[in-house]
Amino acid sequence: MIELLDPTRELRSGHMVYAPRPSSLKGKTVGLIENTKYNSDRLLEMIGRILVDDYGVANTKLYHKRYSSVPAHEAIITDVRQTCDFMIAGVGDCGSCSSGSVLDGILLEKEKIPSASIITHVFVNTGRAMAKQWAVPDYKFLVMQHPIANIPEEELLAKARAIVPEIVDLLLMAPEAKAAA
Amino acid sequence: MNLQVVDEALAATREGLEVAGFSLKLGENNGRLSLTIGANEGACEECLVPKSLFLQMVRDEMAAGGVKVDGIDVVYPVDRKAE
Repeated sequence: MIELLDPTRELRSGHMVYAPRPSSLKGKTVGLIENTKYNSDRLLEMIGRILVDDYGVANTKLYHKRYSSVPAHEAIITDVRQTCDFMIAGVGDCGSCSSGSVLDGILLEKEKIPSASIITHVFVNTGRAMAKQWAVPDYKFLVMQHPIANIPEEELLAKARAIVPEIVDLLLMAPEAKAAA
Repeated sequence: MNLQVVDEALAATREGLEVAGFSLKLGENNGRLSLTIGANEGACEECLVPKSLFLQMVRDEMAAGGVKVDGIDVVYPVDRKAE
């Protein structure tokens, strides 16, 4: 039997309510949900290492999705909710995996886990469409230059270093709070 | 329907499809816009988003480009395989 998974749903209007943000990453645990796309795991591990070395994160936990195009399965969501203080999902460098990573961020925010979803610039419209379908058109996700697959190690590391400040910013201050500040 | 204007409005969708190995062909059928996705060799078919999400993207891009059409029909590679 073929199982068809469709992570979309009917469009409704709404407003993103972000999880409460701690004031610091120090001593915290960060979940990294990689979407199975080539180099996603390496890029997230690089980001995790920078967060440990430069921002005082205590440890990171790498999770592997079963399918890139749908949200992380329930076991991942449960473990992140129970053991992590923050979550980073990605890296969306195709259509369905971008929408899937954006949805991971939306779902974990709803579970009160401050989250950051990363996709590449070619798929911004895909991520935005998924946010709309989940009634949170204003949901903020992070964007890096495409591609991430088939690029040299040093280029991958440069992308990781470039996006870490944006990740930290998003994990520690929700966009609505930043706009009000 | 001015397909060139539609094509310009859908530039981002086309770029996203092409980096995953697909092509986008525009057409008009009884006043409706038809969007046919073709799979090139090595295309990542699981990278295609569900049609409802694809339509959401297309409608948003056309609205941003000031393009209005009466209806949109989308044909994915899997649809042609099923014929």
